[in-house]
Formats: sequence, structure tokens, C-alpha cells
Amino acid sequence: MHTASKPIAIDLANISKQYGDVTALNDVSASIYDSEFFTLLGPSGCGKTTLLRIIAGFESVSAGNIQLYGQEIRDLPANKRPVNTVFQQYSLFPHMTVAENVSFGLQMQGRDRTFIKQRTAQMLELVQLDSFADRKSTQLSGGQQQRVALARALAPEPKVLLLDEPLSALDLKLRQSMRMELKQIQKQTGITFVFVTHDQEEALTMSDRIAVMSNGQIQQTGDAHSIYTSPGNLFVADFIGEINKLDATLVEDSGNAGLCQLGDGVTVECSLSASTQQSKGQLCIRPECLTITSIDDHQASLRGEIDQFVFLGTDTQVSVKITTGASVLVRVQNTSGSRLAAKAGDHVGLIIDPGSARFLDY
Amino acid sequence: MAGITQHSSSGSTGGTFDPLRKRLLFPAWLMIGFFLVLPVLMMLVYSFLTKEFRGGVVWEFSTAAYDQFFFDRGLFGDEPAKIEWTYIAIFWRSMVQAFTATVICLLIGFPTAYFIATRPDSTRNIWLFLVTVPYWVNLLIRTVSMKFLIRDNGPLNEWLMMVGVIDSPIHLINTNFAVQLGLFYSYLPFMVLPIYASVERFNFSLAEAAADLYADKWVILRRVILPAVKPGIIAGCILVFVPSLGAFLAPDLLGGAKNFMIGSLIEEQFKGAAGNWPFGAAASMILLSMVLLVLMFYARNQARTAR
Repeated sequence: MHTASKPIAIDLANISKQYGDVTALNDVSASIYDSEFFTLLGPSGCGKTTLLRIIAGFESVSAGNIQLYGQEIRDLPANKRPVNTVFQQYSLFPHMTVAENVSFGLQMQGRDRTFIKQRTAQMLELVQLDSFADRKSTQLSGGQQQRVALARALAPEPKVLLLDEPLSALDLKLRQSMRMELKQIQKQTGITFVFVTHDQEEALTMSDRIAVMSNGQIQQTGDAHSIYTSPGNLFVADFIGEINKLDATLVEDSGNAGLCQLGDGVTVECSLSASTQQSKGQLCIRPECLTITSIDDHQASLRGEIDQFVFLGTDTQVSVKITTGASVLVRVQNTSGSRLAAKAGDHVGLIIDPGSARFLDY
Repeated sequence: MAGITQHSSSGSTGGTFDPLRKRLLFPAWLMIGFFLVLPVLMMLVYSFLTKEFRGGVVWEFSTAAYDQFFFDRGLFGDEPAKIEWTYIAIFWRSMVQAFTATVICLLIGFPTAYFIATRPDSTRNIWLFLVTVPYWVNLLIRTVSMKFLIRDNGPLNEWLMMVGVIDSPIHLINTNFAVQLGLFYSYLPFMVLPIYASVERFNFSLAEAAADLYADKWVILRRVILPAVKPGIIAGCILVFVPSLGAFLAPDLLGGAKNFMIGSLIEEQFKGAAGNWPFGAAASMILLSMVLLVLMFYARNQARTAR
């Protein structure tokens, strides 16, 4: 959409990958735009790493084509592809110093000595490791090794940088600061990043666009906001963030909006995904899109009895047993001093924020 | 990867005065003392004794054994000393033979070990088994069998003639080639196994990382795989070189008199009435010093790479 005018960096066309009887990727197509931070997000075993390794050239495809800036690279071996990878376990050469690691790719490219020296220093500066140039890579902490891996992959000026869960081995605090840093470096260098992760928070905070994968297929591609607010199917809705899912039947369909009926006959206005085909499905509502009100509030679409409260710091999570018998979670932000007036056992109404309820078929 | 040096450096740590530690170490010290230090000391002492004519020694200090090894004083020992080249030549030949055997074992052992280490788990043990299975048979029997295989009218020559590669049998027995073949066959697993162990531990994602950084296969082998498996290669080379240097079965049975090696020379000194114990002991001491020199060179090299 907003990136449509940019040139396409990587064009994946109908990629399939078979390991014997196991299908790792099933007819995957995607376009990754120039200087974009593109994330492949999905649970383990969804095929995201396989797809990344196919782009890098470590795996062959069973079917399909890959173009890199218009050039077909399907049959090009890994060492001939102008892409570089940051590996999950960093894979730094243990017998080399930090500087030797960073300059390795430049040496292989046959650059001249002065350029290699200059570029290596520049990369180490970029990742703030200039004073560590002569250390052995094994003498560094995890976070530092991570940076060396990043500098090493960026040094040869790849057209595309591939990152295979690069932050997963770091502890939480470091991971969070590295997120900002990665994003910063991506903006600074303008290199196309293809980032693989199973961590939805990582994906949502860093990416320009996200492809949510499962079962060897891309389920939905879009920016963080659209994927969060308008999931294309139940898998995406479930995988990204928390969501309430209520069994529902679609009774009125007017394109991208409609009306669905819950188990006890209550009807709720809802948005629809373009792929909706069946009338049986689930009504999905994010917990933060529900507001607790009095039972006789006419704006309330759902009614029920408060079951319990869970204090989460910034929020309180309230579970409400609604009239259909299902349990619904409501997120209420904790403002200073105030405490929720309601208590367990209270009969309450729930207001759904306009446009936030979404019907997704099975 | 720096496993060998790590072990050696961790040995001296801990409380030296811990009595329990001392007691627990006692069996190890006993072993080393009894089977290593004592025999070497005995060898040293014997090498400085006077020989007795029917084998054995007379307890009388003498440097005659070393003198005999290095100097030629004529038949009756009354001429001015010249350098005696016979034994030095034997030693030199042994060094060359052992070195050649080591190189051949390395050239064939490395690809073999690499091949085995990169097989799937399910077949790896079968390959390892196949490499080691000949060693269940006694070395002497294997060497004698080799002799029968390569003799002039043996199966190898017959087969080569049948296939039409050669018209008349090639003379293999009692040649340098035969000795090499024997040494190679005897010690190949000592090369394969340590290299296998280090290749098996090698993290192949490093090879992927190198390929990702535009390295071709040879560069990956040279700059990423070889440095990582170097300890295994060095261990394999030592394990082949040292016993090859002192080998006496292969040179004796396959090489004949012309390809005499140190092992046979020493063996003869302790065999029968023609023996000369002090001289055998002296030759052993010289061999030992040579081996130690090689090992010290290796240790220095290791210490430098591990810093």
C-alpha cells in the first residue's frame, strides 16, 4: 500500500519446500520492498527460518522463484548472493579476532586493504565496539557477539540483510535495547532487513511490515497496526496479542461489515475480513476494546457477571462470564488513585468500541 | 577447540596441601612412576653401562654405547674418531619414513574422518566400526597377511596382471613402498579417530556463515574448518608419527634388510646373544629425545595459538 511505489527488493513467487513427505513451505509468495524492515513472524515450525535460509541460499527450493532486485537467484549458491545473514547463534569464527570476523566478507569480496581497514573500523563504530577490535570473538559477552555478527554481516554492504532470530539468545533488557538499535541501524543504512522472529512484540515494535506465517504459509502480510486491529483469519487473531473469541454465526454480510449472532441470540455489529466465506466462525474482540458499564446501559452489547480480577500493574484484567456462558477478558487501565468500582459477582454490561469487533470464519 | 591446552592448564589449580587430594592422586602417581618414570630411568642407567657378551650388562659405567652410536673408531677402537653414519642414517630414514607415513595418513585420513563425521547419526557408527574393525586382529598377523598380498605372485600382482594393468609382476615386497603401505595400514585409524572427533564437534553453521560472506568451498576448508579441527589433526599426526618412528614389524616383515628402521635396530639389541643392551638403551634414549623434541614443538605451538 504505502510502499507500493518502492522497488521490490525480494520477490518470492510460489515458493514450496519439501523435506521428504514433510512440507515446510507451501506455495509462498511475497514481495519485500527496498529499504524495508520486513518481519517473518510465526510459531516454531511454521517455515519462517526455512524461508530465510532459502533467500540466503542455504536451502534449495522444491518449486518457485526468487528474484533479488529483478535478478533470478534461485540457482545461485549462497556465496554468490549479495545478501548477508545474522545468525541466531551468531556463528562468529572463534579463532579470529573481532576485526578479523568483521573484515572476512570484505576480504572474500577482494576489496583492497585500506578499504577493508576503514570499513571494518566504521562498522565496529556503528555497533559501538571500536575498542574491542583485537579481542577474540569468544571473549565477548552475548550482546557484544551479537553486535559483531551484525557488523560482520553489514560490512560487505549487502543488498539485503537477513536476520534469523538474532535477539532470542539475549536477556530481556538487552533484547529490548537491541530492538531500538537494530531499527536505528536499519534506518541509518537504508538496507532492506528481513527479520525472522517468533516474538510478536519484537515484530510489532520494529517492523515496517510483517508476514505472519503458520503451517508453511503466509497467513497475512501488513503493517503492525493492520495486523493487530484487522487480523485476516483466526490464526493471526490468536497469535498476535490477546483476543476474546466467541462462537458466532454471521447473519448479515455487507462486504467488509456485517452482523453476527452469538449463542444466546444477542447480535453484534462486526467488521469482516476479505477472505470470509462461511457463516460459522468466531467473533473476536481485543480485551482493551471492551468497557465495563452498568447492566442497564443501553450501549452495552454484552452482559454478564464479573468473575475475577487480576492486577497486572498498568492494567487490571477482569474476567466476565457473559450470558452465552463464555468467559470474556476485559482490560481496564489503572489510573492513578482510582480503583475499579465493580467487584466480583456484580452484574455488568460491556460496551464494545465501535469497529473493534471482528468476525472471522473457521 | 582449545581443549588440550585447557586440560593442561587446569591441572595445577586447587589446594596443593589438601591431604585427601593427595591420597586420591596416589594411584595416578603410582602408575606414572611405575610405568613411565621407572622404565625411562632404567633405560637411561642401562645406556651408560658396559655390555655383557651374551646379552645383559655389567654394572660398570661406560659411554661406549653412545660412542658407538655416533663415532667410528675403526675395528679395534684405536683409530681417530670419525662420525659413524650408519645409525644416523637409520634414524634419518626412520624419520623420513615416519614423516611420509604421517603425511599419507593425513591426506587419506582427513577426508575419511570428514566424510564419517558428516554422515547422518544413523550411519556414522557403522562407518566408524568399519574403520576400526581390522584392529581386532593382531598387528603381526595383519602385517604378515600384507606380505602375502603384495608378494610377487600374490593376489595383488595376479589381479593387476589379470586386469591387464601390468604384464609382469611388480616387485613390491622389501621396498620402501611396502614399508609405507604397512605403516599406513597400521596407523591410519590413529589419524582418523581424533580428526573425526574434532570434525564431529565442528559447528557447521560456521561454514554456512563463511559461505554467506562469499567464501568458496576451499576458503571455507582452509580458513574456517581447518583452524577449528587443528587440535584433532595435530593429535592424529602425533599418534601416527610417534609409533611409526619406532615401528619394527612393518619394516622388518615388509621392508627387508635395506629398509631397516630404528625399531628393528633397537629390537635386535635385546634379541639373543648378538644383542647389546646398553647400545639398545642408548638408541632408545636418542629416539625418546627426538620424540620429545617433536612433542615440545607441538606444545609450544599450541600454547601460542591458545595464547
